[in-house]
Amino acid sequence: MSASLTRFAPELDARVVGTLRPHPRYAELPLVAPRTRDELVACVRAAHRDGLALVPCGLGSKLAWTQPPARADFVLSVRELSGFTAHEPDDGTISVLAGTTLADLRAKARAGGHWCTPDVPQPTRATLGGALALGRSGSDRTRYAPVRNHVLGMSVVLADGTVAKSGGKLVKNVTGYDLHRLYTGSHGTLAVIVEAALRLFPAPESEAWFEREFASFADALAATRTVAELPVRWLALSLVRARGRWRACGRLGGKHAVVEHELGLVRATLGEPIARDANAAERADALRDAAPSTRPSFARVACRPSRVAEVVHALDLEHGAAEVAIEPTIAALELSLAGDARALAARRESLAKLGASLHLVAPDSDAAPFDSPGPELALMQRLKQRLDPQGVFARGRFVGGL
Amino acid sequence: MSLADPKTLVEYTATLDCIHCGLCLRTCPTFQLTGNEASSPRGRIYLMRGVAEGQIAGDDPTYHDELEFCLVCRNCESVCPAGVRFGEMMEVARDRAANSVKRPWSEALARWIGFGLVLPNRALMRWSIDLLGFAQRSGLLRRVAPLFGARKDALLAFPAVPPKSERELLPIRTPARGEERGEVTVLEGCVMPEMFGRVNLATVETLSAIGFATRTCGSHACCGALHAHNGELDGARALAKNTIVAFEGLTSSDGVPLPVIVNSAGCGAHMKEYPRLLAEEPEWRARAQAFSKRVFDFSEFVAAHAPADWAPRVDPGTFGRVTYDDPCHLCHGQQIRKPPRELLKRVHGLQHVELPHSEQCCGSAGIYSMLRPSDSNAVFEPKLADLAETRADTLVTANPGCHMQWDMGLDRTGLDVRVVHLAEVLAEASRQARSTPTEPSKHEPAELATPRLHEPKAEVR
Amino acid sequence: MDAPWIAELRALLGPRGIVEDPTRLFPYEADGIVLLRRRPELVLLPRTTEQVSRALKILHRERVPVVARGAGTGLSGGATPVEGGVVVSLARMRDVLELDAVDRTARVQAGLVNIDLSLACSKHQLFYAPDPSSQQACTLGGNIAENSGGPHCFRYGNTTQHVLGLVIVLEDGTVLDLSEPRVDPLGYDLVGLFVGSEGMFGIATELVLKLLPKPATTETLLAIFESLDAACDATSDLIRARHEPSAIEILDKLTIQAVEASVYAAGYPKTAEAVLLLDIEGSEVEVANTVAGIEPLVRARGAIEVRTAKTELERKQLWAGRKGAFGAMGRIAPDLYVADVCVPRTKLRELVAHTTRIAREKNLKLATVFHAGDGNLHPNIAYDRRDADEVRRVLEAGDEIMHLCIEAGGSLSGEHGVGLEKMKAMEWLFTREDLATMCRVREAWDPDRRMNPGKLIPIRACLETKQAVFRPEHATGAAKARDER
Repeated sequence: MSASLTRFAPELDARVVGTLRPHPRYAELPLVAPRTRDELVACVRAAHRDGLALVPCGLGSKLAWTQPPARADFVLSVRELSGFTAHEPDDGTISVLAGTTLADLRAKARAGGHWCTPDVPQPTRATLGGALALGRSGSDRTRYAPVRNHVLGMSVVLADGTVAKSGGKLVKNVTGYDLHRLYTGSHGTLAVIVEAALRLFPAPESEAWFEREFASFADALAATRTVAELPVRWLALSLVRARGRWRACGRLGGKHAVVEHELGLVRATLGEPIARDANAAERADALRDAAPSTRPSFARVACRPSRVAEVVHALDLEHGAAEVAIEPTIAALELSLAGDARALAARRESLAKLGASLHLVAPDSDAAPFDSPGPELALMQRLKQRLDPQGVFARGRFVGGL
Repeated sequence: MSLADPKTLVEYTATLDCIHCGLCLRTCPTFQLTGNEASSPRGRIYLMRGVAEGQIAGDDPTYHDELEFCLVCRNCESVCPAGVRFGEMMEVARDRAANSVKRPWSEALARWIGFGLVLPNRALMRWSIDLLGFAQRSGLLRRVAPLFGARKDALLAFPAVPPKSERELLPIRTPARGEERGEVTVLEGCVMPEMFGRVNLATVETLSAIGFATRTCGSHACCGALHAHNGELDGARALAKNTIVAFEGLTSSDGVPLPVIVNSAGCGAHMKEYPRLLAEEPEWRARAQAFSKRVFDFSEFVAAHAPADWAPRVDPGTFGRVTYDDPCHLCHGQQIRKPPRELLKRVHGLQHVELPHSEQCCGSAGIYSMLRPSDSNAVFEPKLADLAETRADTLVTANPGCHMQWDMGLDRTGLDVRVVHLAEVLAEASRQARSTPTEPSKHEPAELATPRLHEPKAEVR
Repeated sequence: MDAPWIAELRALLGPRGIVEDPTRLFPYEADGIVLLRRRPELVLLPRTTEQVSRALKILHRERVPVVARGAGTGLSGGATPVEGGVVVSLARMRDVLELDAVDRTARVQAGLVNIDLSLACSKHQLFYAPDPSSQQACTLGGNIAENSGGPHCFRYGNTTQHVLGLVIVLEDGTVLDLSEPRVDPLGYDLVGLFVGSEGMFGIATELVLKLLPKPATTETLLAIFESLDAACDATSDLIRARHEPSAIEILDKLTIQAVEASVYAAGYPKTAEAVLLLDIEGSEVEVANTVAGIEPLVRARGAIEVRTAKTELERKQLWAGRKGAFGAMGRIAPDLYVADVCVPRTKLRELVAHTTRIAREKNLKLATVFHAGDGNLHPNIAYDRRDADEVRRVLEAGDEIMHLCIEAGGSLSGEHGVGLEKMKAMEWLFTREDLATMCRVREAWDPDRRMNPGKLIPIRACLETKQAVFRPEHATGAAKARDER
């Protein structure tokens, strides 16, 4: 840590713990990591007062997922704000500080007999605050749908240092606007998430892991479609291309009898499960942690489920060298990139014709990460304007330069 | 404005039963048509309450229009969790409204002739229908119809008066076929003998086939249902008393009053409600109760009393594919839904398919189709599409108003579907069963190709 | 006489698309909560997004407040008209625009009645999961405005989890097409933010909704209890044991009696103090497994009988009875106050007991029927709006119940929304800063605060922003005509 880097108010200087690039193509900036909620408020308030721009983050592992900020003065991490403020296993809810890693969160939930979504890759390197700011769902969205559905409430620090909450800790609640839906996925452009309450789900008593290789993409897709139609509640279901081969992978989890029954239904299409219970979880985690999104450069594509094949074809993924992971029921694709970000960006228009969106994470390229939004951008800009008129949360990083 | 206490203009306490939950909205034909809250059961009750509480004048023309716009199909009653008796409230509100507004003289005269003279009097009814028949055949109707303004089209579309041979009254007594299992009376009705003499005959024939002798009730014609539905409660009460008296005389040889079989759903629903109509006349209460217990819809009685060995059967070509449209005053007014279907299923050789939205009103609603022809047509319109979807060859009903509405509607659109009363199907099936006492035919009815006007809308891509 | 802009609306919407007659406007003065009433100046009944957009442009220009209305079955006053305001009713926008059985989505107009969507997709073995008790009447657009729930939201989640896209008309008539159903939004989650915004962000005219495959097996259990407490405890036990039925409902004795006297009589035992109604769905094995797990738990809490619906008809009747419960209360009193509070599911018995005590203390008749599995209580208090003292006691009871729930970590509404009815209680649950943030977000959508003004956020919370903008000189011709009468 170098004191010469800091030129801020004392409340910020006191919490500088190092330096970090807010984006790989932006200069190193002081990294500020307050230890308490009050310190966090003081830091944001100081930035507001002194006209500084900050980039919020968790552990900073996914700062490359955005565009570089137009101007930023420091990076503000919530990593020191970790732990659980409430855990009600008998009610199936948990309240978590934003700096808690997903690994810790999932372990805590598990200890109470629960599953916690999102199940994202490399959970030791991801904080809940970061995942929610990115609106990042995990492999378990096949069963549980996007993570934003399960955020019950949130506390945030707004641009002027105000602490504001929305929602609560209840599994059902419609009191007030769902502002947590706005903050989830807002990439830290509207507020710093301090704490969130999540809904928990029963932990599976038993698990099974299926993997089967197919000769072609079409066969693999057909197989996943077949098993997706079965009366089976998949925990995760994906199509994976690695080392030039297509595989269908599926994870079952639930009560013993139910899993036994379900794997009987799946067997005809995917064969025998290759792992059970703890081994199944291990396999699933291994696949999850090797996802294309863990590569330095990758792309995410989303469309309607019925258009997955068309999108794969349009991007020529059936036979290419790219690593691909597809959640067929969610219609989300991830693919690794190797310096071809610009070429992919050029296909935006043809993807749009298929109703597909493209998100590029290519820190070494100036290809635009996000699609261009439509007329709704004006509304998003008004939201930004109302909540952060001064641009305390550095502008330029998100869709449409938000 | 009426000087009367506004609380007497409607059934005020009944309006308080409505808790405003809205479950009635979707079932209401006029709400479906307009999307207007005031044209829904809940909205109309709200208006009634507004009148009672003095927020709306008793002679407010919009209020009156909403009362008249209602078809009184009573579909809302079938879904109302609070048990609001909407039909009854409507009858009272219309009756009070009739007293609080001055109708144009032509309308007042028409109502006086219709309700006061023609309906209750068999001879006048016959004469009127004769006149109509003559006007239809001679082309006179075409020439005078324009005088009736908005009702011109409805008048022109009125079904052709049947030939004299089909307008015979029933015999005073018809014996049972085979062993007599009992004796019943039938309500011949006012319009029925003139327009649907064949249905009355079929009714008696079916009853006879299941072992019941039938008797008719002399010169009795009108039960007063149309009066009650159209705000003529005094007339309705007088006719109810007439009816009770007339049928009280009809007993079995050992003095037990005979069941009264009704093949017109509107009349049956009304006759079952005589006790309520006469509730405020203590000397009539017990008689009305005793009478209403004797009233059975045709389908209700036949389904309950047909012997196990009665095996009606038709040649598949006779009716083709058959569908059943619930008359409102049967399904909503009397909560009778299963018996007609059970009877159709019982007819061997008949292919029965369900009609979508069969409990939705066809827009006939007694004399509504004459009073508000364009609204009536608008209510009817979706029924045609539903019928087309069934690809039925024959539509079965159980009420003369609905029967005419379907006849007119099908005539207008050219859809080739025959309309019959349930009794006609059963009578024919009983007849065919008698004439071919052989093995029932094995083959199922063939799909009969009928030209369709409307193809069901494709909505799935 | 006639303001030119009213003539413009008339020309735009046609004679059937506008209600001006004061008598026809009268029934629009309340939605499902008749305690709150105000006659609107006009009601518009558009048929298309285009008409809504053009009408809102005119109203924007004239600075007239707007209240959107679906079927008017809401229970928080969300569709109660506002002073000098126009009601935009979606009741004539009820087309199913597209059913996609492959992607399992439906695109519908906002005025479609909830049940009609499930009926429309039934032939593809699909259904729409959120099932508010008023689903026979309420519109999907209204469901979205309030983020409605329903018994089966226990398993499937509230409305917001089933909304994939929207077409929204903003207050100035701008049409935002956010209807392409993709897993994540591009930019901010405007759709997610809009759901539950109680008509204050704009009018959703087209909805893209998620459909689910019908479960292979459904089992309906009815557990009969001799005390309401025991039924509550049994529910807490089920949640604690991680059981996953689709719906967990409780009906108390008074509710059962009202239902059993109605057309929805379903064979609930009239002498029971409470029943627990459960739907268990899934594969045959899953259902059998869950039922086997649930039965002993329920019996351990003193269920004197556990019945299983034998036929589909019986099953339907049990649910129809549950869903007709609100209306059936019409038999008990002319009006019904339906509270809608939520509590952690570990505290069901405690809070239900409090509501019983409060009703007793205030000499009020209480029937309770609620989504126990979600901790969403509905203490229903019968009253007669003509009795001013009773109305006062009802409102006091409502306030007390809300206070107790907040103390227990609960909230003000689980599915009916805040609307007018619970607006002041927002200050009990949220800080000034929380509410001011909601104000700011609302002003991004509606800078003049003209959409459903005066609802959800207490006026005081917004004072630092702007004063309300509606000016009385804009009172409509219809209002003046009425005043002259």
